[in-house]
Amino acid sequence: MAGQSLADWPANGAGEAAILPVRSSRNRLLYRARRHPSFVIGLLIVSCLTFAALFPQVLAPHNPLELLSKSGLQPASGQYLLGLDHLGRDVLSRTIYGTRTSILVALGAVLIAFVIGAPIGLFSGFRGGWVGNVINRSLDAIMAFPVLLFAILVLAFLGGTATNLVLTIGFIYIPYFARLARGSTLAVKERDFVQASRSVGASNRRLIFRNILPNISVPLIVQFSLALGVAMLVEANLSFLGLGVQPPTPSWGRMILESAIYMRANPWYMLAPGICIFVAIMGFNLLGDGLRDVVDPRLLIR
Amino acid sequence: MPRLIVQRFLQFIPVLLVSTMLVFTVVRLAPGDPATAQFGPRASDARYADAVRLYREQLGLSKPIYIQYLLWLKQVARGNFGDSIRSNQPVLFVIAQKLPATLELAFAGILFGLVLGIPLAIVAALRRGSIFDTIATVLSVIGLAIPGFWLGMLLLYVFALTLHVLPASGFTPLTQDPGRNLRQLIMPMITLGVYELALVTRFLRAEMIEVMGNDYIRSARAKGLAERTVIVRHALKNAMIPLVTVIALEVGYLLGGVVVVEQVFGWSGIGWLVFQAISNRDYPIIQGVVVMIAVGYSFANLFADILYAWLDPRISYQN
Repeated sequence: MAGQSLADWPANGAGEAAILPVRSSRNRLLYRARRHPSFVIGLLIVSCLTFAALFPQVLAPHNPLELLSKSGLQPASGQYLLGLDHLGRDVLSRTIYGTRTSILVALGAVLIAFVIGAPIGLFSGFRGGWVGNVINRSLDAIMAFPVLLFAILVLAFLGGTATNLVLTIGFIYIPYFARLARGSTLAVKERDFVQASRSVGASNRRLIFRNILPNISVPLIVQFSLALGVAMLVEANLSFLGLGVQPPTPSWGRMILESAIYMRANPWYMLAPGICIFVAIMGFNLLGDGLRDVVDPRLLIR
Repeated sequence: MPRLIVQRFLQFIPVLLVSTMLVFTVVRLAPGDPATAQFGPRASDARYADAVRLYREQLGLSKPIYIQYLLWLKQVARGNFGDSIRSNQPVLFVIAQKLPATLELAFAGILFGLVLGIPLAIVAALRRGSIFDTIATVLSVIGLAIPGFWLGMLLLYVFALTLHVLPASGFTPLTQDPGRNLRQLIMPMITLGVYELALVTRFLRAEMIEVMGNDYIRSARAKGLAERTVIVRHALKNAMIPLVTVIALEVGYLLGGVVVVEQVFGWSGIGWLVFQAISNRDYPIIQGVVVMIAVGYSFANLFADILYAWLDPRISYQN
């Protein structure tokens, strides 16, 4: 029996019944993951989206920019599963390629917000004092501006390009991450083990990286997933207003805008991108909520 | 309590200033300025350099940016946002004409969310695992994920184009023809309200569940109070408090969503106005609407803040 660790114990049904309380932390997580269907569904959806965004060529039957018919709009048929759009392009292919646009914009924006916002929040919470206070108030002031409205303003004046979209949405979301990081840092800072480390003279750097960071990472990751959903919704709204990425790059929101007059002739032109947006946002929401449930710190007490 | 109001108000002023600064900065960041708009391609021509410089000085564009901002702010405080490029009417006048329509829609949307959401959340919280609970959960997941403009178009497709039950678009003022106005209101109201409904259902339900588990509920029941009193007087009142904050925050989403929904249904309010202004490059209108909405939203937040403090006695005691 020497050399055998707890991780070797079986985690399947038979094993669980026989050895119930003994489980490595990794198996514990897997077990919990299976009990929260929302997490699994969210993960599934997000994985499919990622695949579609990375390898659209594999899934799409046609070139999304190619004009396949001189007469334009065609309803769904055996040849074109979702029909053609008003310029004669395959709706199915455009929908699949649209995944890349939406995911890239959403990911870029949230990454910017995270990479800039979280450190600011952590610094603000760690420092405390009036510096932290001033930062907090400034963040509040930026958050006070309605999100979509600000994006509309910026893109109307500066033009709708992918870069502008990413930067604008990213900028708006910085305070959300900063706020969250600050709040979590403040809470963790007061905990016993941090005080203990501090009392034996741990440097600030060590405190931050070894004590605070691991404990604030969970809410931040949850928020990351939820933010992806919001960013995608904002991008879709802006595209619908004509402020998103410009044609001919396929974009779900824009497709819905252009399909408005053709609802009767080819309903799929409007339905397909809409369903995709809906499923995508739901996927990120479920994943975020599921993550929160699965990695609930209350139930990870050692 | 009055001290609290003053304190909140003082905190609110910098927020207001930052909002206006954001709008001002974005507008100034746009490529070109009124001089280039006026002179066109000749603006960069060396022969016209003097004329362009004079024009800029007259408009105050050569002054330092913070001076420009303060001058602009002074104008805005007076209500002078310039004139619409398209119609040459004062921006504020144009906005005031369209505002009642948006207020009606926003009010209806929030009402829809609350009137349907609060009872549903209560029942879902009290009867965990019942059909109401399932409906509430599913509704909140769907409602938070579905894009507003798409939902609007779906409703249009089903009710207006296919079933011919409701009018497809347009807006008749309430004072002119209430019947028609209300029929036109139904679909945009639902489109806007679904998000609010989802929010209310999700948060109130979770909050109620947590509140019902508290000790004082058990004590109230032990005292012999009727169940309804326990629910309404104790549980609901306390559960509603965070809901106030959530709603205030989500009014912000609504203010953006209104642009899209009004466009889909041809509901000519300020959201629709902004969209038209975007298409027409009517910058004074865009700027004016955004500033007004931002300021209005800040006031709404201030109000919600004070309301929150008033409802939760713990907060006013702390201060």
